[in-house]
Amino acid sequence: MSTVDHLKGIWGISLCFWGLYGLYVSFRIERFIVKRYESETDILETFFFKEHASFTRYIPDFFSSAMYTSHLLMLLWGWRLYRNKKMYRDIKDPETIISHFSAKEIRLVKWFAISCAIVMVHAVVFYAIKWI
Amino acid sequence: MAQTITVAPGDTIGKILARRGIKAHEIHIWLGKLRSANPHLGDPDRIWPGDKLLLPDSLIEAVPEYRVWQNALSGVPQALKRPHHGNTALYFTMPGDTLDGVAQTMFTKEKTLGMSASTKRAVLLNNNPVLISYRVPKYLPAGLTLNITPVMLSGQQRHFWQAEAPVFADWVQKLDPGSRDLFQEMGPEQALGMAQLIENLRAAGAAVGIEDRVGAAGALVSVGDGALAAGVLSAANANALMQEIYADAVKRLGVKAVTSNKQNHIRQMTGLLKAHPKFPQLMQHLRDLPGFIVTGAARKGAAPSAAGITPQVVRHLRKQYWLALSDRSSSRYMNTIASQLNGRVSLLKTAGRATTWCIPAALGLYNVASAAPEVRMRTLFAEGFGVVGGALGTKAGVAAGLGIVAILGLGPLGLFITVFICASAGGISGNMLFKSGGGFIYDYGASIDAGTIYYSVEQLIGSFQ
Repeated sequence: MSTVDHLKGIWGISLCFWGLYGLYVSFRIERFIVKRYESETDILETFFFKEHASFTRYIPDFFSSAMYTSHLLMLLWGWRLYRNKKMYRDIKDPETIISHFSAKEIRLVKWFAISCAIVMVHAVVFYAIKWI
Repeated sequence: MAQTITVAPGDTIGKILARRGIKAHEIHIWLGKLRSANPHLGDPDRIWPGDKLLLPDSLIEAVPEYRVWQNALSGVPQALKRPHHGNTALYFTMPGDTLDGVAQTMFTKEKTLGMSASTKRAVLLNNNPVLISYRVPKYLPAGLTLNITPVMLSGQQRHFWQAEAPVFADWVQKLDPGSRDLFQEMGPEQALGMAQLIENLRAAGAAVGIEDRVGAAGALVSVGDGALAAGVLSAANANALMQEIYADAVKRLGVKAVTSNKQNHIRQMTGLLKAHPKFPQLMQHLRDLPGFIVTGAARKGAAPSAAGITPQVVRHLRKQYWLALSDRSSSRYMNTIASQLNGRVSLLKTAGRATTWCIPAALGLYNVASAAPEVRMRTLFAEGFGVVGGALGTKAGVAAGLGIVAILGLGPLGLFITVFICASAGGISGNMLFKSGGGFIYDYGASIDAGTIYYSVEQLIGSFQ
């Protein structure tokens, strides 16, 4: 078996591991984030969800949880990028939203983003291997 | 679908409606609907066993979700009364609990002990919008799950104002709509200052024995030594002037002002306001306003100062611009569509789930069934990962699409389209990627066991050449 075959196999195992892990994490996130956004808090009353992404509550939880995750990540990691955007005009301090989540929940959300990024790296490697 | 029921002995209209989750104070609304749906009854206030009643569609679907949970949780034992979920502290209400009672007993930690009664109530309402409907009867139903995490009051002060509504309502009603907006534009600190002041007035009223009168708006104004009355007048005048200045501003700056970014807009507006001939007049009215309306100074006990253009004023102006130019949000049509779906949103959600999982799985199984026997296991392996990858790709696409939209600052329609495209692209590429990944894994395992395997005669011949 050639080195390229080994590379391909190891790449495939790694990709599927990270994919399954990402899916597992996303299911764990779905268990709390939909509840927290839609019924336990009034985050959906902010301009972002009231005026821009108001369709979120009408799509399956599998997808709405991704939108909520992305929203939370924007507040966690990209606040400098987003704070002057019109859609965030009523959020003075991201902490008002973030404080609704425990440290463990925030960690899960970050892991989802990280595993998605790793899968994307795998996609790049996939095309590199195809060239080999 | 409308539903017909037969009246049983002992039934009243009240009982029938209550069984469908209608609260006592809502019954009069539904009676009207029931009357128009049942003209054959003549006087629907008198019903007899055996009568057929046609229930309107909306009545059948009117049971809110929390009411269902409330019933389900009514048997929760005492030991589970104060569970914790992460950092979120919860409280299960028991028979006899009141809104103020919960607020007073639960916020007893070091940080929250010093909060005023109205702030505690406001935080409770802010965390649990469901409580708003129980403010009037005061007693809470047993089995509600309340979030008692003492989070800071956020940008949504709606609940705060609703908490203070009994005190503020009459007073705020005297203001014209524009000025009311100005009040709601206040940040949490100003709102807290306002609440603090009202409580002080109450205490002052209690000390001189006119507590009951202080509760009413008129007494409130008189205790405030006429200052508030003057403030109300000035607020109305200031608002009228602001409206006039808006009209000028729209004429001068037009759409350009609206489409510029917020910082530019504030700068433009400030310049425009200062240059406006009626600016000194407006400032005089603002000076006449009680300080706590425009600044947070009241909370710190400092002398009120309203001589500058505060962000609140600019925000107020800006809001009026958006309204004037009909900046309509997607919630206008999305909520209409949802209300017309009338509870059938779950059907859409089911369709979405099918598109994500069932349809790709069915297509995958078809591929497996139609594959040649030699590669059937490999196809099964690859298709299985393909389904998982497609779902993950779609989900990641939704998340990434939202991030891209926020960076570009697109509007509601742009957001919808971008998220849709990203989700589709993510799903397709995720499926392809994971299908290949699954194939690689299978090949890797097979080649470790038995050397190279060949999927076609051509491949076999090719390996000899």
